[in-house]
Amino acid sequence: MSGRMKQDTPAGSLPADTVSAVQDALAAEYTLIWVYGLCTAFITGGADAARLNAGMTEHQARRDATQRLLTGAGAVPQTAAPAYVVPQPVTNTTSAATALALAESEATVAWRAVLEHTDDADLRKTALAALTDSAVRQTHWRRSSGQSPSSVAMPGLPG
Amino acid sequence: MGGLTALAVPVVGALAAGCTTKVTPPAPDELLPLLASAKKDSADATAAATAFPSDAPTFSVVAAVRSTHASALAKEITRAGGTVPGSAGPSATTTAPQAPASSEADAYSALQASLRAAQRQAAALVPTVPTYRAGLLGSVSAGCASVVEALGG
Repeated sequence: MSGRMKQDTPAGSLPADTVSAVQDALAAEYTLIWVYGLCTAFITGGADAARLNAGMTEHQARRDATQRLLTGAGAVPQTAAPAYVVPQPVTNTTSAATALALAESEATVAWRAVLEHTDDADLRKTALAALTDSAVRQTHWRRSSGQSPSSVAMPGLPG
Repeated sequence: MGGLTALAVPVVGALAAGCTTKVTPPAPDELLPLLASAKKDSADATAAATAFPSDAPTFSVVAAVRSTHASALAKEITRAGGTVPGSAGPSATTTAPQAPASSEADAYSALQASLRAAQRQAAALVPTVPTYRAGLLGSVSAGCASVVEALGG
């Protein structure tokens, strides 16, 4: 059984509360990928389209890495839902940017929670990179949708 | 006489050891340098907002973000039993305010460099601090990266 575990994270090395936090972060990445996909229909040109593509690629890579991390720790990664609900309808460029900013914000909360639920230095680095990346993308989409201020002082702090 | 000398040495040794233990100050909180740089960024951004009124809103956002970081860091240092440099006067660890930037562009680039350094400064501690501090420092580091993005990358 343990012979099949070939990930760099030793099998079963993560406590249950850590696994739970990582699963929540994975769910946030699933949501992000879905929202990015939804918004490709509304953000079709210019610098924002490039940012959209870059964000999609980044979050797909993070999803894959997070699934591997969970599998390597002996957990079964949860699966993505077929669709997600966005609080406000996405009908144009501005509402698309607003939805992206919100989804990135939710990811910052999930990844900060991972930081608070592990003593594993490598997982903390992974979570910090994800938190920082989502915070920067959140700032970009806030600015694109005209929200002020565009930057959040403490990304990932709930409430 | 020989016995007395022999007795005196261990007594002095014991006293010295006791003294050493007593006077060793607790290690300064590792968050203090982060607090100092947050205060400095906030002060520099406030000065830039005054010097360049046309860009005051942008500089004020930087000042507000770094002021929020300073408050959160000070709160945690105090919670952990440490002492925060007085806010009434200039803190002992803060160097004299740097000369005002000669142009808005200079002020921007100086702040961006400082924010990037602050991002790395907080990130460097994230792997090793207690869990209750890891989230705080993660948010401070990501907040610095966000402001750099808000300033235009």
